[in-house]
Amino acid sequence: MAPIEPFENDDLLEQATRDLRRTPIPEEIPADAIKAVLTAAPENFKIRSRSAFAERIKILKNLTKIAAALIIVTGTIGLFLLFYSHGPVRSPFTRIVEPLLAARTATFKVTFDIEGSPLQTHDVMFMDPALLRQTWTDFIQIMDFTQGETLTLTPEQRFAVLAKMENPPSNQFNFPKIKELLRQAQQNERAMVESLGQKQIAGQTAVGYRINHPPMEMTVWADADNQRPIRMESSIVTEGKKRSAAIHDFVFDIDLDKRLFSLKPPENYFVIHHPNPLSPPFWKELVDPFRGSLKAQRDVQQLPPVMALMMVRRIIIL
Amino acid sequence: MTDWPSIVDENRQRVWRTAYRLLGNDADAADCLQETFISALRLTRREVIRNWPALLQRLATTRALDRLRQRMRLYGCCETIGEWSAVSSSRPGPDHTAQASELCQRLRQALAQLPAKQAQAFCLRFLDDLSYREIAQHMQIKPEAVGVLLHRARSQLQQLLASELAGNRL
Repeated sequence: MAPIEPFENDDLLEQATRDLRRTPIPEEIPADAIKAVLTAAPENFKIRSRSAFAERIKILKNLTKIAAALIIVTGTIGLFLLFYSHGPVRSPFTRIVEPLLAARTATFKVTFDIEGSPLQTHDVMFMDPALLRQTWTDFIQIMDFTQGETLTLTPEQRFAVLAKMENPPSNQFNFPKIKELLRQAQQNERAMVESLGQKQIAGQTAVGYRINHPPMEMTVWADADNQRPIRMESSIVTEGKKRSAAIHDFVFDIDLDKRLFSLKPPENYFVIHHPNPLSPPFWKELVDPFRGSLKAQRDVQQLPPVMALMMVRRIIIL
Repeated sequence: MTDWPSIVDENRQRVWRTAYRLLGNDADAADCLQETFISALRLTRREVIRNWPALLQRLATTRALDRLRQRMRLYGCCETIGEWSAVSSSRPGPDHTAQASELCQRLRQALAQLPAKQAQAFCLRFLDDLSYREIAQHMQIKPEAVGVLLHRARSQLQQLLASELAGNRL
């Protein structure tokens, strides 16, 4: 038997307690008593058990229970307000790219800056999911990335090239591809996105983010006040030359006529069907015959395909 | 889920020892054992029992002290020790000496005169060797309150034992 703590100046109590602890106890319990105890419970009686969690809650003091309940209620209300009054917590980058990703339609301008060439700006219309209409000075290009087809029109000469887009070059700057990249960046923001701070763009204070996606690099600039995207820039270096493009003057979700994106050439147009205007056979068949006329044929091949096509068209017409 | 026979089987010796030590005879200890288990069974209808051994030990102590108080009411504190142990065990006498037996009975009498909580705290601490914290959990009081109860219990027991001893000597 374990020793008990001493009783101070209390020999009699200590003695009595020690004697009581040493009281011999018979091993055998009267059988009648055990039988009575066993029969006291109904047959098949089972003792309820409760989960440890419920039990823990039950043994909490009332004050603790009230405090815990208050915290839970406050937290629940807070979460509700957060999600349903102002939307879920989103990073600034997510807020900026959201209009770009959610847009059903959009119009914007694209400015190409190719080393050694003058700046070229053209208007673009986009329709979800992957329709583009690009209006250049001399021609219009309609691209359906879902069907992988493109129609190039020169209204002045009534000339149309209808072609398949097989394996478009990686440096092709198209809006559906940008959307896909933005989506990836949104999901892997920590790894792909870098804040660039603020700068002034056309008198507006803009916040910027860089998306690293080698070999491509893209920056997104948005109005610092309302987080609406105002400019996107992309650049790539190939064959030793830096090619840049900027998308700006965004207008989202306006009514656009789907016929503007039709791949059916207008009547009275001279139509060339070609499997892939961007493939080497295209150049071989169409460009080679005019090789002698091309003083800067090497440069033509390095231009974006639409610009190259424009030059080819000029050559053909000439 | 736990079945009742298992609970009885696992805890009957603990309850028996607690009851017998305080009551000192088979008949009272057997009654106390039954009351303890039946009280526990009633308790299961109201709440979920998490620690059966602890519950049964506490109930056994409480029921045994209740019986001691009943005896006190029946025989009074001034009656002889012989009347206190009138319903004695049929087994061979457990006490080695008459003096030790008498001292045990005096302590039982004294415990019966203590307030219930003090007596319970004393038994759980000095007979069942529970810590202050365990006693506090059993009795649903603060550990500091256990210390106060024990201090008061010891003081009162000391006085009671001393006065009874003085009375006997007279």
